[in-house]
Amino acid sequence: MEEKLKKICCIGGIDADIICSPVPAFPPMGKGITLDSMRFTIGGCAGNTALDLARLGVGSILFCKLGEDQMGRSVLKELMDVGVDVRGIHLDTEVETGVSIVMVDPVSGERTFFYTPFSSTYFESRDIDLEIADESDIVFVGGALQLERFDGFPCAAFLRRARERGQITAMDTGWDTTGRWLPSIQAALPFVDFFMPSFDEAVELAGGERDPEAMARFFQSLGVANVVIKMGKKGAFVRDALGSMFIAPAYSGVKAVDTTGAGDSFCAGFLTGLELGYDLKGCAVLANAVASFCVQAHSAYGGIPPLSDVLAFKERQEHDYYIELL
Amino acid sequence: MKKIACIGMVAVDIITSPAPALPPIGQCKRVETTKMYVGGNAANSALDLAKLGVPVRLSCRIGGDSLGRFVHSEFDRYGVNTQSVTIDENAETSTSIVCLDPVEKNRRCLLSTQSNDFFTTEDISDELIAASDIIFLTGVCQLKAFDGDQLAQFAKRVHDLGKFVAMDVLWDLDDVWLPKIQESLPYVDLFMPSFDEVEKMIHKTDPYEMIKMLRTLGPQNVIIKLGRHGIIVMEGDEEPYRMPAWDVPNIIDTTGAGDAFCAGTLTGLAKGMKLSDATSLGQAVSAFCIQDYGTYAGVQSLEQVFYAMNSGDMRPYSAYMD
Repeated sequence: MEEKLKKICCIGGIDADIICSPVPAFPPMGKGITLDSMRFTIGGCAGNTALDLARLGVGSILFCKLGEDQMGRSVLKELMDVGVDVRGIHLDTEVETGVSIVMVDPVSGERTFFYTPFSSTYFESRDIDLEIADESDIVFVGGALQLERFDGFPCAAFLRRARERGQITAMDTGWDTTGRWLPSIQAALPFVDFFMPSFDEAVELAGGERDPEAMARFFQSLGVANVVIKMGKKGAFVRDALGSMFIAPAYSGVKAVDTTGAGDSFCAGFLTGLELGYDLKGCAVLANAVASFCVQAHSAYGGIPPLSDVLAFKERQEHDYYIELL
Repeated sequence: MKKIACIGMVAVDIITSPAPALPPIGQCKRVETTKMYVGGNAANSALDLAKLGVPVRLSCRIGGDSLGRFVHSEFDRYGVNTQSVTIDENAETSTSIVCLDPVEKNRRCLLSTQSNDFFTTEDISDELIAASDIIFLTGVCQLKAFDGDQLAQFAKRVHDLGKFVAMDVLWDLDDVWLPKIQESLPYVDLFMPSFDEVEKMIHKTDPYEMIKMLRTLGPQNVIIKLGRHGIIVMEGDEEPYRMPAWDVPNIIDTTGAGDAFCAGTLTGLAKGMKLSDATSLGQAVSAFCIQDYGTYAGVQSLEQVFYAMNSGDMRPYSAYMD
């Protein structure tokens, strides 16, 4: 089955994360304090989704913006080691790779960050090699709202072309620190087959609306075909192009240790379902299954097993269900 | 020219600036730059030597993780011989996040020490020992399994083999200091700690008193690095003497200046220079180092260092006797 699957094309946000734990306080001037752990890992919607797909064995092609520097080279090496197709990534000498130093407070478990601006803000249309992108059935823009030079009309042009060539288009948003929200991406929405924001992002994009059905109708009025709103522990709310709705709850009994990257892993699972030809309910259930593996590991993508393991998990679990909404 | 081996500490240094304080919980602070380099005394000195164009062997222990692969790729890039570098699949590569405070011109560090904690004599290959004339043990006091007994036994072993043994220490986070190195000092030909470290070791503050006391502990020659105030040197039982640092008008980052000094000094000795000339070369390499971020980025080839020294462009820092 897996031999027939084409790699999924992921486009957009990526950065390097250094996760430091525990950091109870800043060291005194001129001195150092010892922590238990410091891990280099990759962050960013497109990066994580591409890594998840590679780990599943489904395969991914990634287009993103990385600097020609130590961090950029390390990110590229990690992508290659995990199995992401990086033919389309060219390190940019004019840009510094975005890095976040994430410090975890031992008492609250909360995180605080030193971050450099994401190199992703410099990602442009011409960073996508169309000949390579055309190898996929599905193109996925990850981290929309954080791609300053790509969001809006450039993204619209790319997705329209993809649609015309028979590709399925999907989009996941990231948090918009500029506060602009909808106007940044509105031009691209009519060309999006599957719009997959998180609940909090959807609320901002829909101008404060909190009812999922109302939010979905709003996005569809702007041209989106199918809406998938990710709701963390509650699973996902789906309204398809014909107006049918359902909720696919997350698997119960899953003990979450770290939810970093859960949304991206959900997207990876959903896109895999589309690639496998599942209906939307099947896609949502598979997405929840992949996300279950993500949250049980202390890593955004390290806990994702091969697809066969995820399918076996789906077979074993009893509540393979969805709630139909009238 | 004699052959040099660096043995001991390796780490990844991630230097971020400006980072004078921890942001409040859940918040982000935007910084101007975050750069990643290889760090750790043994790795720094080895990379300095490689950039100078001096062949060098390195023995240290890195993790089998992304950061470890980055370290290894830097060694390969600059031509450091890594035959004696152990890759530990079960450990995270030791990493320091160096938070620079540009206003105070100082730094604070967050450290993880895993791979270095497991460094032992087993990681030092016989090939390295056989092929080297000068053995530089550095990063001592933060090598949990190696400090103390293993260090003393190893120092004695290579001393008895006729090697020239040099040693530098690192800040002891356990605050134990002398007991970790005391037994090894009699086998050391050149001991090169920094002022702050010596102060902690023997609780003296006057450089002349410090260096005389260190000499009584056994090392043949002692140099105490005094930062911008240069160095104080004691050769055997001769009277100690001061030498200034080079004056560098635009200091970017002093991290690794000590390791660069050691690399330059050992280069001079490898070339057969007398110690006072070798230390001059050490000071020059150190001056190059602090003009760029990271511990080895600023170091250039030996030809360029000699040219700068002889051109009259490098001036001693005049207020050094303060």
